[in-house]
This record gives sequence, C-alpha cells and structure tokens, in this order.
Amino acid sequence: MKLDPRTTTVNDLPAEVREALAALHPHDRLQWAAENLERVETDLIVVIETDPEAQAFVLVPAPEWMACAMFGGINPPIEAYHALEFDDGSPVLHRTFHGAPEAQDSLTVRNGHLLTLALPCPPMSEREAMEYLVLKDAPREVWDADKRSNSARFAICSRDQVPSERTFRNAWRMTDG
Amino acid sequence: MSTNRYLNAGQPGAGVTVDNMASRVKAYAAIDTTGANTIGSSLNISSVTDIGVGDVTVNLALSFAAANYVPLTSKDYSVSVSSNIARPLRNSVSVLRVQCYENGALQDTPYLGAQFSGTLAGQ
Repeated sequence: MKLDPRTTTVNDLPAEVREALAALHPHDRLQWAAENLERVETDLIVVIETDPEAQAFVLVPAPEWMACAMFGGINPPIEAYHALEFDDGSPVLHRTFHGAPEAQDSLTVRNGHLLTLALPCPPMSEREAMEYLVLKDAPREVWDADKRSNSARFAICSRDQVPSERTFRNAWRMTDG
Repeated sequence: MSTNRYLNAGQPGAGVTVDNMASRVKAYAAIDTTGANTIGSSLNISSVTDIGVGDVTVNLALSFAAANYVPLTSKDYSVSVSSNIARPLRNSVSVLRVQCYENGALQDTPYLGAQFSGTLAGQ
C-alpha cells in the first residue's frame, strides 16, 4: 500500500529508514517515491507573465513531484539548484521559457554534486511546494527582485481561474482580479 | 543506491564495479495538453509549462550534466491529418521544450510522451 503525502510525511518513518532515504542518490529517492507514495493531484497552478503584450504561461506541477515535496525527504533544497553552475561559471537556472543561450550547448554542470550531497527538503504544504516550484522552474526575471523586469509577475491560483476553453489560448493575459 | 555489481574474481577485470545508473531512463512524462495540462504519469519531472497552443516545456526535477542528453518525444496519431510531429527543442540541461504539430500547425494533443536518457548532474 502506498503512503498518502497529505496525511503522512517522512517524519513518520522510522529513523533508520529516514537516514537510508537521505543517503540515496536523488534519482533513487525519486524512484523510491514512485514506488511508495500516492500521487498528489493539486488544484494549484502558477500563472506567469513576462511580457504584457504576450500570452501568459501556465506552470502545472507533476503529481509525482508534489507527492515528493509534501512527503519531504526527497527533493534537494532550492539553494542547491540556485548554486548550480556551468564550467564557465554561468548559472544553470539562467534561462527563459523560450530557451537558454545557445552557448550553454557546449557547457557541463560543474557542481552537480550539490544536488547529491545536500540534505533533502523537509515536508511542505501544498502552497509551500508551489512557491518552491516557482523558484525552481520559473525564469529568474519572474521572482528575483534584483533581476526582475517591471512587466514580469506571477500568481499561484487554482485551476478553475484559468479558462478550460483553449480556442483563444494564445490570447490569454493575466488580470489583476 | 541500487547498483548491479559484477565481481569476476580471478577473471580479467576483477573488482570492476558497474553501476546501472548510466543506462537507466532518467525521466519520463505523459501529458495531455488539450485541457488543463494534466500529467498522467511521470518520473523526475517537476512541472510542465503551457506556453501556447501545442507548445510546452517539460521541467526536470534533476538536471542533466550537459545538454547532450537524449530526449525522445511522441504524440497521439491521427490518420485524418497529414503530419503528426512532437518536435523536441533542447532548452537547457533542465528544460525540454516540445512543440506538437498537425498539418504543419501547432496543435494541442491528448497524449504527448517524453522520455529522457543521459548523464545527470552530479551522477
């Protein structure tokens, strides 16, 4: 029987199991989660706008990832992602939704061990997981006050606040309401 | 870490350790882009970003070590259209952009599959 991350967290596991889980490679932890955790279908999504003249983007979390975030003890801390660098010193997470600089094609991540060695995150609420996801998967210009463009913004909202009809998908804009 | 180890005592290569991590599929996702962008099943995928009609980015939970990873994509097939293409565009070590075409135009699809192989960062 799989564990439900809405009611059970890593803190409910015996100490020796918690320690063994934390010692695994993060990819092995994800596989452990796939075999042992129920998916978490959240109602939350993130609407992102980087240009008021262009369509809004919609960030949808993977249910398996949400399960890992809410259960805890699986995902590396967000600081480890932000510290990732290519071998020329440029940050790995520097990108837009439309692509990374072509120069990155020839680069290698030089400090990927940070993801492997960092202690995994503790359990999060759904809202905290979505905030973590913005910091990981949204372009830095959206959330970093130092690099933010005036037109970039995001909102964590529920699925029913986004149209289900997609005929005019490419005309979607964020509203203040 | 789960590994396959081969210790061939007395044989050439004795003591060599082989880790099957290198040969594993590192990530996969099955995505329906027609409605609310639901993710049917996934591994090592943190999210999907809907950036337009038939146009999504697949965001990896764990980054690859370099952009030379191998993405395989597929989409549902319809005999009524002349071309069914799920075009992968490697965005970066942690993001894959996929564009789905039917009859030469971007089109949402009820089934988009993406599978990733390669070396993870820190592996």
